[in-house]
Amino acid sequence: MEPLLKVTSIEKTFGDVRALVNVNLLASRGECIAILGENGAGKTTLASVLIGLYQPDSGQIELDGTQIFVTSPAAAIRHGIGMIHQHFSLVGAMTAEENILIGLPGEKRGTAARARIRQLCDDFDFTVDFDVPVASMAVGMKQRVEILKALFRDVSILILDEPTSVLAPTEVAPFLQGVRKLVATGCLVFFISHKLDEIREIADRVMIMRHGCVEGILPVASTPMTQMSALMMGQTDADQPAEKPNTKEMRLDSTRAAKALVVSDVSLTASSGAEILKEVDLTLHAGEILGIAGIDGNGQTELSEVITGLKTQTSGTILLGDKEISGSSIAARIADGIGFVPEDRHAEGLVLSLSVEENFAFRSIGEGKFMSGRLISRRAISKIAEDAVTAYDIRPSNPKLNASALSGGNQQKIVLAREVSRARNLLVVVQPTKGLDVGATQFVQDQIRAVAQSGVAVLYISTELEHVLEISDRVAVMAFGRITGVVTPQNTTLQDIGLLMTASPEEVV
Amino acid sequence: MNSVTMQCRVAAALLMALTVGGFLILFDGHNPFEAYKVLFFDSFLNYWGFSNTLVKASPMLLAGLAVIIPMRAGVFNIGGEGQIYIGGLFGTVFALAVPDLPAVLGVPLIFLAAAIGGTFWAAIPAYLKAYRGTNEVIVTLLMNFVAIHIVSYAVAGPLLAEGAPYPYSDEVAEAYRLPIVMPRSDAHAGFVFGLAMALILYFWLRFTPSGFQLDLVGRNARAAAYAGVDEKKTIIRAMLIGGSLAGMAGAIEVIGLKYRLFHLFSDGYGYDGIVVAFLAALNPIVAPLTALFLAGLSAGAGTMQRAIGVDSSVIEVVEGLVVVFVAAALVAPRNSSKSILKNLLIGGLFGHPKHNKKKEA
Repeated sequence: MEPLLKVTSIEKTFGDVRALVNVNLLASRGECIAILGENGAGKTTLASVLIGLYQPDSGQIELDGTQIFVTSPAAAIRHGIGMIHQHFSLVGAMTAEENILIGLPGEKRGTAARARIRQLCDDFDFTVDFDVPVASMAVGMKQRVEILKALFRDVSILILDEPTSVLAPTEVAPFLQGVRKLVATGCLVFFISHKLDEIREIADRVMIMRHGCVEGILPVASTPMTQMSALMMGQTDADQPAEKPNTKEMRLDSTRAAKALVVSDVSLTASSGAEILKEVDLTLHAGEILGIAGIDGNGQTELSEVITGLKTQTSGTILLGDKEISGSSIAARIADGIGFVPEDRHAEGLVLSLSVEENFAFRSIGEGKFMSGRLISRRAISKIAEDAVTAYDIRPSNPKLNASALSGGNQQKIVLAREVSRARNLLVVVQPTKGLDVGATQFVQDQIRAVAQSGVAVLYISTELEHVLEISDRVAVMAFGRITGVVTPQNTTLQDIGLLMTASPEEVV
Repeated sequence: MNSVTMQCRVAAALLMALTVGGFLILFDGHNPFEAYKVLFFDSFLNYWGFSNTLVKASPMLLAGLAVIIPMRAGVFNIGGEGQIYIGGLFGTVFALAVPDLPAVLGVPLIFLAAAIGGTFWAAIPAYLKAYRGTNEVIVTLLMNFVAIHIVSYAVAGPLLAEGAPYPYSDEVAEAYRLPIVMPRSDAHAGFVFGLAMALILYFWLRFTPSGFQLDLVGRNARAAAYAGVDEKKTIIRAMLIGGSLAGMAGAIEVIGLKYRLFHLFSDGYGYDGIVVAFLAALNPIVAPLTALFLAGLSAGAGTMQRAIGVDSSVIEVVEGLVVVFVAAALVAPRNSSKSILKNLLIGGLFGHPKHNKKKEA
């Protein structure tokens, strides 16, 4: 059969980063191709090139044997290529019909169009409530409206970007059913995902990407999950341990130390019904570094927020030492000596319009060391900031400058220095090395090790697996809001971790 | 953006507004330098003119602070005008109901009553904003009209003075009237009170944890939450403070200037407060200066019209231009400006050196 889509040697670079390297692909009608890969493997970049959000640096795309240039998402729609993003582009105040017909000329919006929408719904067994505005629909129904929007525009290629990640567990099976119908009518569906069990269920072939390269396009039925996982993690020799034990210093025997943090049976359910955290159990000892590995968006950020008080869990308890803190406010937890390096330092960890010295103080401004009597001591703040700027070699070394004047690495140092100095019992760090160069990464890691040595328990959450394995005493792997396993870095392989990271909830139970 | 950069940008914006206004005067067939000279000479260097400036500056200053404090918490209080009216009403009602107290007790209580009135009027949009997510700009703006009409009703009905030819209340007791700071003029102590408030608020924002945290919410609400600050309570607190300040401005108009509650007694001072606040780059300590400047513009406009023949509405245009230019200067991102004019005038000539360096890099 003549391929519908032919992608030849697509390349795309962003600055120094090669996001797509010589990507080739042949795909036919009526096929479902899963795209599997870690964060930053190039999955979304490839999709963006196909729908015209990015222009490739080189290479070409052929549709039905003729070369096409997808210069914009509108052009993509003209060529019959549509994409459903993780974040829907629907107008909340409008009904499903109005959303589907949005932007079309008047003559295409009449009764015939409305009849066709209902026909499409019937064809694909989509349940859509046509009487209510989209804002009051459940996520699954919104997603169906998005898909109908694409189908109404006669797409022959549909790209779904992690479509099940936003769905409640009960919505997944009907959704996959719908996709299957789409494929049966001759649509070519790309299914971007990192959930191996779903890929197994829905896809004909799986395209595995790593660092912008296609590691393989394999038939799903005949490829074992372990092979997919190994290709995704970039490890061909599956038996090699993740780390050579002799390169690692002797770790302290953490089980003997006092328990610093006990998270028991913590669950978090979003208002949409999606289960973000599910029965999470964790124990963290004083002086221990516990890594949390997992693919982005599997509940790690929310776990950090539940522990530090930014979000409140739906059920379960959290003990800091012997003290129950589940109901404490953020301020109370700050006072209890919990340090927190949040993922988004610009939006959360720093106030860019304040000076560097004020950034050292803002998280606990009422604390004695920043005060003189009941008033803020600007002099004390300057002194503390100057010391930290010297100790952490923050540049430029003028603490009166606005935080926005500093580079990302130096900004991260401010957050880290502040939280390390504040953490007496527990330090929670999320993606502390994101966007840092090798030297800065090393520095951050050293500081975290030092604070652990001083007896503070550290929860190290990161999607950069090498860093997690390098620094942690133990590593807990999260997938779909659950802890799918706890391993020690010395005795585990990347492949094991890859399987845990993509394990479906059923396998864990 | 540090405060030095902000002040420089504001100064540049001000100059641009006056320049454009100057062209308008020129097109009107007059010499702009002459016109501005007459205007500023009259408002600031002439005894009677300056007293007039002070009279206008005192409600403008308090109304400006009533915008600054909520704005520092990220909430836009357009409702100063309504809060002035309700504050004036509460203050007058108290003053008329309890006419026999000594001044040291009565005047503070009138201020308190007015502050309660303004606070109450600001509490409604504050609650709606914090707990219902309702846009405070719309609610505060619309509540202004309600407040104005409530006062009109009050002075035309229950508070109407006996035999009054048009709607106003009885006079407040002489003991309650604010002292005059410039002899034989109308210039009362209201501006001094505003000045004290500006100092207190500046100090509060800079040197107390609660003030610092209010500012934090406006700068970065997520970071404030991360620092354990309750955003909703802070928003409400900021709006209530704003409402009380505007409410006291209403009392000052009554016991400082007119000694009665008139209908339509505030001549848009609540809205002037927005200009004062922006001109001051939201810094309370600068607000007295910007209130004086704006009051001077409006006090001198009449003289300019009489002496030179320039229509005083030109000054209203200048006030409007000040808002536009200052708002543009404050929101312009530091290094994404594409406009050559903006780079040249705001970045190049008046910008902070650091901000320029960053642009080159």
